[in-house]
Amino acid sequence: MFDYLANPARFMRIADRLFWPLVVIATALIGAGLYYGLLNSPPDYQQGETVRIMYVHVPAAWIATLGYVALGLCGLFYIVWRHPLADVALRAMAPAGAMFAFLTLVTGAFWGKPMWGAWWVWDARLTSMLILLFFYLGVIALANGFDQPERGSRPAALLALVGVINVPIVKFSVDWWNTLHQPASLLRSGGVSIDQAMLVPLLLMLAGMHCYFAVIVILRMKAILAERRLTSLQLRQAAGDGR
Amino acid sequence: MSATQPDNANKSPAHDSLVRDAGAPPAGLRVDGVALVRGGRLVQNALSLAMVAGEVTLLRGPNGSGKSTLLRTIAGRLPAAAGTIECDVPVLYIGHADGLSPALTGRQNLADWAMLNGLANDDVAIDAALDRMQARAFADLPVRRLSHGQRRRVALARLTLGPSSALWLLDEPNSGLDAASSIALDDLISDHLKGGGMVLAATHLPLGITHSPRTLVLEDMA
Amino acid sequence: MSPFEVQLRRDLRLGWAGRGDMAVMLGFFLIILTLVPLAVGPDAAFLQPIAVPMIWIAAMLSSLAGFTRIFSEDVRCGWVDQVALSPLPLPLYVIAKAATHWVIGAVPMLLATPLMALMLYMDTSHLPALLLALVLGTAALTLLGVIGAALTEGARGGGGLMAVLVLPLAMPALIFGALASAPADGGIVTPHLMLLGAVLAVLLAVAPFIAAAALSETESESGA
Repeated sequence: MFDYLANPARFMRIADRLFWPLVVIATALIGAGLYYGLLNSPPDYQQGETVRIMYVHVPAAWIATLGYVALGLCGLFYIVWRHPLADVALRAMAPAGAMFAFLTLVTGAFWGKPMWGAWWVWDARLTSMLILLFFYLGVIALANGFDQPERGSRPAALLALVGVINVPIVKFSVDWWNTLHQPASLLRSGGVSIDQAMLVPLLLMLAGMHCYFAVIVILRMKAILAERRLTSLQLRQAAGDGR
Repeated sequence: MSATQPDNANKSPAHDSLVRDAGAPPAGLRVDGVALVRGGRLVQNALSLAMVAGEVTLLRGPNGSGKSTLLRTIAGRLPAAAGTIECDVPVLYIGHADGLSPALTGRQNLADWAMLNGLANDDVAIDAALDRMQARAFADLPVRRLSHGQRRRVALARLTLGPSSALWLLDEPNSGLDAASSIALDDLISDHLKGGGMVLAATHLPLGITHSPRTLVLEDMA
Repeated sequence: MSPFEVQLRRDLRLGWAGRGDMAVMLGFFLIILTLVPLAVGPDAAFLQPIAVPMIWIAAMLSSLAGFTRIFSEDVRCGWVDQVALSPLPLPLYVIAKAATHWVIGAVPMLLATPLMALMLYMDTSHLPALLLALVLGTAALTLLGVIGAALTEGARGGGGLMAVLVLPLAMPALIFGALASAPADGGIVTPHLMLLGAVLAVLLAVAPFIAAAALSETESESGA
């Protein structure tokens, strides 16, 4: 299947076919999620209205984390099977993931100010998200750090791999270092500990924002592939003129 | 070496060592349908080449046609975008860079290289190698003090230390050499071919060797 | 002599020939720690609690300054090409590079640490714990530096890029190292030290292969 999808032209066709349905699904899910989340769900008995930030904050945090795992997988595919598309996907995903990590931090700050009385608290989960953002920035910087862009592909893929190995270690070390944050409430061994009225919009937003992430990644992949075709056309033209 | 197999930190088995058992089967180099990509651009497509013991092939072609890239790819330092490369003899590679650390002397560089490859590295062997390229006089100076041509001579002296069956991959070997050392290099190559070795060289300058070379012209793929 | 020993001896020679560069690293370490009292004031009450953290940060930053050079000379002069064609596996070559870099770069820093600890009014009873933690921490950092150096080989603006890559990866080592350097009960082998050791073990297993994978394909500088 990977061989099948590794052909850029075929990928573009499939991506084109998926693109608009994904846009529609993302819009519908996010629209419904925002409606339930902002207008049609109860405030939290402790956190009041600020709980509604959760509907953006939690999906963003999930995407930032899963996005890094996906980045690592792209790195693996690129290193082991040398799929050019894995490199394109990695380059497309890194800035999108960084954006969601940043969004997580900003929404966290908006939530933290009323709840904790401070924009920033050196709590374990915030700190690991900040470090995750740095990981993303490292991959972006390395992928673009070479005069010939394609030379950055292999280092960036390797760095994404190292980062994935390091993410659990960072998580563990930062937890050890300090923890103030409330424990995770969605995925916990004792089952879901959240009211149904809040769970529905949260799940809608989770699904919707993942689709949104996919939309951004496809869009960026198409842009990168188009840019590469342009460059190779220009090079070919330059070679033709040189005769 | 197959271009499709994962080629991580491990080197392809063909290039494992300069020291091989004697009595190996008829040795040679087979390049089959190789595509080369450089700077994100396809520079050669479906390139094929076969060589057996005692043969010399010269690579010619304009700048950017992939001569150096081909040599690096055969040396296992770059992946082939497509096709296969098989080589069942030891490979000695002298690229644009001489492979000499500027802070060490030519003699130290040569001895380290020989030891790394399990080759003769006593003073007699090193001196003999240096003498072949008339490089003994400046072999005890740090390489950073040497001129371009002098460094080249020390680097080329490495060739005589390797096994006689080796495939030499030479990238512009005679650039920067004076007339006397060019002749010394020609003799080196001729002797190597006589001894059953193989030479694949990219060069703009003529080589005055006794064997008649085959020439592979790499066209510019526009 | 095995190929690994040959490479190790060569690197020690090269390190000795380039000892001036390493002296610069040591100077950087000392200067960072001299800046601290200038910034927070000479009062021992301020300096004592931050002595250990500042020594760690200074160690990290000054190590960073030396990493860019680990492979660059060998890549530029073509030695890595020769190693790749030799019986010495690239991961072992990387280990030889890391080991010599640690000996030449980190050991002088460790030797200067007691002096700087005194000047920052550090509680001297913590000195053995600090030194032991720094031994493991600088080793872990060197392995990360080896990864960073291999990945940024041939990149523009290596130094800043190196910091962006290596420092986030180094945070676990910093956290456990700083905790292990100031043990509460006076014991030296704390759980934090063991965790730091675990981080080092993971890096020992991973770093040589990642760095070797990055070095296994490098285009020559001037090749065409």
